[in-house]
Amino acid sequence: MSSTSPVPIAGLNSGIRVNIQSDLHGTYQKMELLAQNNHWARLVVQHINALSSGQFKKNVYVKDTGRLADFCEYSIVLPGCTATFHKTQSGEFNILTFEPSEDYHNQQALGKKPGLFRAKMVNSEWTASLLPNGKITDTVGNTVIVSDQYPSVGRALEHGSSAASASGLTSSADLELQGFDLHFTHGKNRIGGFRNSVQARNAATDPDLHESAILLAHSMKNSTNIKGVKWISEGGGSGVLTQAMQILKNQNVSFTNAGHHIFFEGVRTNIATAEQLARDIGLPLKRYAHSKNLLNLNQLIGSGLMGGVITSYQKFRQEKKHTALKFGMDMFKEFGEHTSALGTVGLTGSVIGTAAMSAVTSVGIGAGVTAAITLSASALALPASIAFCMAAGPKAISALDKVAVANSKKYKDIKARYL
Amino acid sequence: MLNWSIALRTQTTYERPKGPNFQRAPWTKIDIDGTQVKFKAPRSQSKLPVEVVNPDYSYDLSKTHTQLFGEGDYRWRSTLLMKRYWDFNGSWLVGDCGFIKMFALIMSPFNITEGLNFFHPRALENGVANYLTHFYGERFLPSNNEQMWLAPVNWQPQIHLPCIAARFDAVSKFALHDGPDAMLMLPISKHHILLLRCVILRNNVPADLAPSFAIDEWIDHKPFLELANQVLDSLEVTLSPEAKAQQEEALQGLQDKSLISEFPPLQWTKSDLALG
Repeated sequence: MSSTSPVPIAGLNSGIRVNIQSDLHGTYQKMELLAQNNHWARLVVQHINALSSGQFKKNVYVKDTGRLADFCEYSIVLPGCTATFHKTQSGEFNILTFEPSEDYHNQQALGKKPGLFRAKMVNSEWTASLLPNGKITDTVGNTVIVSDQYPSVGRALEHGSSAASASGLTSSADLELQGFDLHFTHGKNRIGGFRNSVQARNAATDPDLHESAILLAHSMKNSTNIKGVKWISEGGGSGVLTQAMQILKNQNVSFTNAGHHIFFEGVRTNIATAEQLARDIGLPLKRYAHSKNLLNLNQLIGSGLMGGVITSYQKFRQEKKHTALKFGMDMFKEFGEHTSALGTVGLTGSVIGTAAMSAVTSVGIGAGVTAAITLSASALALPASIAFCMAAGPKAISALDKVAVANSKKYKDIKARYL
Repeated sequence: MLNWSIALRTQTTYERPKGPNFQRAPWTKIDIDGTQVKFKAPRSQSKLPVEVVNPDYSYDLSKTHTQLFGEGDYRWRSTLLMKRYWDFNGSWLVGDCGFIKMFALIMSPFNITEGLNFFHPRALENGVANYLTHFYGERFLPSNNEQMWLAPVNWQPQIHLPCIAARFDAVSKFALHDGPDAMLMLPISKHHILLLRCVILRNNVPADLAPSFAIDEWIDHKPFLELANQVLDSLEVTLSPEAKAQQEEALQGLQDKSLISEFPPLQWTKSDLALG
């Protein structure tokens, strides 16, 4: 056998054969040994073995790394491991590179890799310790906060605890008394938002979030027998939660009778996709299951400009309780919030303009005109939007339908190309 | 150098961040049952969505609201006096590179044993060990259960204060972006300890850089340490007559009235925690 000849590791008796290069076989065997005690290694082995089912499109996120002459090369990002493989003409999978990280657990504990932590208040200070098995604490009504991407666990704790109290699902007193679980993602930049709007739109399939999302999906899957768990995402944590729910949906996991709750606080990624996925896997959504600050561009643009309207429309189409009246009220609320945000920005601008104009020309006429225009524009915006909605309500609904159909077609195209 | 909190570019090289100006910091004066405590601490300056706690002018130790922490023998009551956050911003709009959390707390054991007097050097040393065991004693590396924190480190008895006091650090052995946590502990009554604590947290090195990239080659820790030291070193205490009487009672007949000069780091194993 030559040093690079393939060795079968899965699908020997049934399914599609999965081979690994012989020089990587020893590394894979080490990973199998690690899988006996480490849940992240177990996930890696499970996902590699799942290739033999032929359903790798659903089980593993696969990234196209470039089309070669006669075959397609893919790369898999898993917790503590990256691998590339290709599908041969005979239908078998050949793993070409396999790079595991043997001290992934330690990296998690040191806050350099994503992981699940138990946070508790000790002497007026939040402290966190790694939950090595990746399972959430088995307490009825436990709170799990999915944090944005931060450079240290300490920072995620401060942001997460604050967001959880703001969500309304829990209070700061409960958090201090009972503690909470924190799903942490390590990184320099925050997820989604205005500056990273491509990631915000495609959070469900973004490869950068996949490592963290697989771990979160594992934690969520193991929590279906714990009652009343509250899943709260903070900022761009909504992206990780979205992708985790996408993975769970692909695995047909259901939370229908689990009594869990979900909330997206300060959402920075596409909220329409997130709420739809939550509905698909049976997580109940309250009427307002997300919050965003419209003066924050990262939240306003990251969540989708009309995210609130689209989510309300989704509820209107899929939930009997959400009547047309509620949908209409939600739409007015969304437009009203946008208008008030614009008004605030306009007022601030006019104040600054007044000050600047007065300072430069000592004449208030210009400032007065600026302020009048801004104020009248903001004052007219709300009635205009209401009138538009009332006149073009049915048309707007059909337009939204068209957008939804176009989005699903686009998504199918992406799936056909990459998966 | 534009050391502003707004981040418009990503850090690419070594940074020496800048924190609040200690020289401009106001004095914080607190009366705790007649004992005057005074130290300088800058006002909170942070982007973090945190609740800042400012101290009252005076506290009655018998009436303070207390929180419980710890278990078994390691159980304490604590009262939060002050909590502040200070961001340290990098140069040329890099944004913040880390922050310091500053706490001032009064702590008291849950089960007060007869004859306990923290003005006695051995009692304070025991209290320090007990607190550190609770706070750092359950943090182990998952792979081999090696303890992650070393405490106390840089043990310095404070001889310029009118009572015994210890200044020490807790250092992370592995998560080098966490800490050191600088602390100052001193008794303010026979059953109460005052703890000043500055927790340093630097941003971790991005994962896409080489794993061997040490945090000290990425973000300078001197500005953090400097501010923490300045805050803790600025403490001035004037004991009340009752506290002085308790101090005399504790030190009566003692030949060695000072704290030990060297306190080696405590060793913890997972089995110790079961006792707690």
